[in-house]
Amino acid sequence: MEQTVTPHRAHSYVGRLWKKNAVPFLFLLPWFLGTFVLTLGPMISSLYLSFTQYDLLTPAKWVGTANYENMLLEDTRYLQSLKVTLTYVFVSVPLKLGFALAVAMLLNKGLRALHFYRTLYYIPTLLGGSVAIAVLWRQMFGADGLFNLFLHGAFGIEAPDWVSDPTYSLYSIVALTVWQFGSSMVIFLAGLKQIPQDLYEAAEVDGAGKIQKFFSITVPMLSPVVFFNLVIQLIGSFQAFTQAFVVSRGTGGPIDSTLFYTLYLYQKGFSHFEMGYASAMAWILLLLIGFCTAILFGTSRYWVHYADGGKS
Amino acid sequence: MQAYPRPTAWLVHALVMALGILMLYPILWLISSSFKPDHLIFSDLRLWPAEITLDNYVKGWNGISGTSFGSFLANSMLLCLLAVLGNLVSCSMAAYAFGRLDFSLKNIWFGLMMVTIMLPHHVTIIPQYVLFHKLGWVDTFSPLTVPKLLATDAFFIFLMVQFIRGLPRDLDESGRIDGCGPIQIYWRIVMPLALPALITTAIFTFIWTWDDFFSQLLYLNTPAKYTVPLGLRLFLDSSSQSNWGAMMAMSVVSLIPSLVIFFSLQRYFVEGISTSGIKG
Amino acid sequence: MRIGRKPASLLLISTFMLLAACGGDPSTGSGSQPAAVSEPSSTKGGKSEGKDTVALRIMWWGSQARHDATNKVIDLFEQKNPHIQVSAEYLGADGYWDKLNTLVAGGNAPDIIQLGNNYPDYVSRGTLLELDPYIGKPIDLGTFDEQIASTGKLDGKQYGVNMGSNALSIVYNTELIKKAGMEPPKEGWTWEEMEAYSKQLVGKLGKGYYAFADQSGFTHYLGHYVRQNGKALYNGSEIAFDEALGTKWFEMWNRFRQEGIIPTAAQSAAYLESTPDNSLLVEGKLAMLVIWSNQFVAFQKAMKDELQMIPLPAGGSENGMWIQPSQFMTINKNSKHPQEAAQLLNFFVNDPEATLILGSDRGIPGSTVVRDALKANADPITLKTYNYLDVAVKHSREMDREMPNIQEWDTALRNSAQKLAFGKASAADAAAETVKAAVAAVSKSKSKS
Repeated sequence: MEQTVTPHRAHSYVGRLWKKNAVPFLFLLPWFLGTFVLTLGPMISSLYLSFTQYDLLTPAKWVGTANYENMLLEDTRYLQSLKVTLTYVFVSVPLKLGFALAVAMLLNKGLRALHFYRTLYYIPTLLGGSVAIAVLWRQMFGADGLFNLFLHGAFGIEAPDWVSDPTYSLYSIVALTVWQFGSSMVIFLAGLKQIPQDLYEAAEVDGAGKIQKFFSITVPMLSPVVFFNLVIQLIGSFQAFTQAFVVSRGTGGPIDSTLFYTLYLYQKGFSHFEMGYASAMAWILLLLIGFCTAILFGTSRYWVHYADGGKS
Repeated sequence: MQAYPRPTAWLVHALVMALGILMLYPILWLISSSFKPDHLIFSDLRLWPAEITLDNYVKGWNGISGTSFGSFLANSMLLCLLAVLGNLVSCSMAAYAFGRLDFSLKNIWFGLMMVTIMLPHHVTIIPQYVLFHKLGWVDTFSPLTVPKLLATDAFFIFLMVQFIRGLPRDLDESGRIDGCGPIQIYWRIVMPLALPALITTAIFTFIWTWDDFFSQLLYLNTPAKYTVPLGLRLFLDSSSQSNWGAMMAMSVVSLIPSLVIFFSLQRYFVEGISTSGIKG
Repeated sequence: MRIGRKPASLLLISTFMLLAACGGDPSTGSGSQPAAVSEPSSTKGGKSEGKDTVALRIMWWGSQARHDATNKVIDLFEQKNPHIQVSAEYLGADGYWDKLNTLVAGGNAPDIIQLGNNYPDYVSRGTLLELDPYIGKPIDLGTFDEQIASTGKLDGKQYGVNMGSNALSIVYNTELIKKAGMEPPKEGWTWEEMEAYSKQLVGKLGKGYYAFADQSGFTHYLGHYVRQNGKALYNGSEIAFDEALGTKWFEMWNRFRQEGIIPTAAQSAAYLESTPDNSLLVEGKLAMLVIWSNQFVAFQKAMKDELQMIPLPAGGSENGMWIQPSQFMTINKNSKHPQEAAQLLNFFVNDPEATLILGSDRGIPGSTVVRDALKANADPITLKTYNYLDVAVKHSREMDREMPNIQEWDTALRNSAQKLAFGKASAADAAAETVKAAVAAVSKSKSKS
């Protein structure tokens, strides 16, 4: 790729490589720099650390696969964190995305007032990791919270304490996640915005109804964005940390019922001085996420429609 | 798509308003708390406080030990603008390459990019700190901004790739016929059409950087360089006294820039503005 | 800030350049090592003649009041020692340990570090400087109570200077007790008396009110109970309590729960009672709560009803309570300027002006001279904490060393206590789990060293 390229060598192997890659690599240059200089080094370090005992304050000591064995065979809290996270992923991802898409469709109009609502609906997301959320959430879903007042007033139901009863606490965090649907909504709105209007007009001319238009135009045209949201939400939910950290004040409680994978990883790494173990946890999680993401990418050829005609 | 017919419009309004109240409650609570004296914030949970005070705003704005809250706001603003700029430029470039161009080992590079999103960041914090420390970047804004310029937020690359791939290729073709090279196509055709994705990137980068407590905590040591998330935490100390009132008051103040950014940019999401020129 | 003034229009290139400039600036630079910057004596004036300027870094966590006070003291120190420059890095308790551990791991730790009773974790990992060469001069502990001065010692070596002491206490809401028409609880009461009193109190207050919080998962409260029975959570080399005692502890709490004098399991899980923002005491539903005495001011300021303090319940064969340092100042082993750092430590604990500014925010100071001066100036709320400590001393004996890896054990104990509360474990199971977790936490530190 050096300056050896001259016209008569343009057909040589190097010349062809240069011709093919020069411009794309120019566009990728910042990314290459960032990835190879800033991202990959620390990633590889953490892979190395996963085979060591590392307490942060003294040098790491090689222990082979001990961390992995300990984690998968002996650590019951680890298995609990895995269970909590998998439950969370499978419940919260469809709920949040479904809700975000429904609201985005509802708000995807030129009505003036809707500007205001779009912002309003984003507010919970803005408050995301605020320290005040813990207090607030107890007020909304605690034993005497607003939600239970409503249940009691409207239906006469005596409901449990959703935040701190270990049977329900995970679902109160799912509720918090769904409530903070703003980012997914924004991405859906952006995606809806990108659908060419003339497609709908053409379909109307052909006498298509609302439902028909939705399935024949909106769904396929929006599919790349749906796919994006799905992949990102999946990865994000596997790594979910802030909500559980804030609501349980870092404990993952009560009784580890909200001990998310990364919350446990964080406790291990920073509170228990076991960064080697935490690194091993991280790499197992990476494999798990990688596997699920690969499956999603595999299915995408059947349902994701790219206007560029390519396959994923 | 035309606006809703009248009866449906009312129904829609009723629905979004009911939802809106649920969404609005937290901010009302925050605002109400910010006007309460300290001894009422957690003991009197009503929205309309029994006593109202402006003290929290005064104390909060005065900041900590001579560093006013305005300084935290200014630092955050600068940091966010640099981050937004960095992400817009670098991620859109990478996304264009992945979404439109053909090059060697493309799938492998793309896979690598996805993998960088998948590793929980807690375990790379220390190696990364060591790296930035060796570069002499600790206690500057560099560890918080240079990575953005180098497209390390792969989230946004992937986002823009999905949007760019949603644009019909015929457009590039017509550009090519007009004599545009890949660089002009990127700048003149793809970027304008990917505006919703760019706006999304700008909004998210701004808000996420604005709220990012942990990395700003790690890399900024001098209080004069502290940002809003650090400033807010300075009011609190779980081991002794917290100045909750000031924290709530400044939380309200610090929400304003994010709200303004969001409100002013989200109008670009309304359907039916710049669709002309796209042939489906 | 320099970056802000550059025109934004140059976009990419200028930003790159700016960031490079920003990173390369020696004054804002990493500050990696507190390097001695040689300065011509003429620029500094006559006083610092012949001396190089020494730059020190100090890190602490705390509240706004603490930041303000400590910064003032540092300014004062710099005025009196013009050749020393102190750069302060302070934050709230949130994230303090994460940041500290990262800085230590990254080889960029400050010269002076504020630590709590977990300082042995840092000693055993070789982070801290042994202070004995600096005791006497410049660090003068002559006016300290011997017991308090020695709290910074580990295996005979001094690693920390005590910045203030505190003790566990029961705070009670005087208004709620008046409302119930009862006499306030008395110093020196026993567990049985507390239980009987609580039953009566709850009976009079009615539904929704509780006598005290479920603190069966509070490490140091259990420590108090264990010590009353002549044992210890940790005796300096191993776990020194057993399942039988743990079972008795948990059975007692089970009884309290059945009697309705403590909140339900779910409420207790929701209100950890660790800070005023998650406290039923602050919400006025709870009459009594066990807290550290230096948290008293914070709890009082978060509510209107007047609070008072008494010692923890008595019982068993020995005094269970202890006076302990709430915070230490320590010096980083890699500090280039231990002498100057030690000077600053001494200034914090002995200088009359400085100690007056610092007050008792970090706990009650160790020096008797300072203590008397502060007590004379204390406001009524703070005065209560001074008076309380005088009372607490009478119910105390020497403290045990903190268990290694205590944070890990905290989590385990809280989990066991919650399992018990929610009926998912018996008292015996909970005790067995608790002891097992303690042994694991301690053995971990042994295998390392």
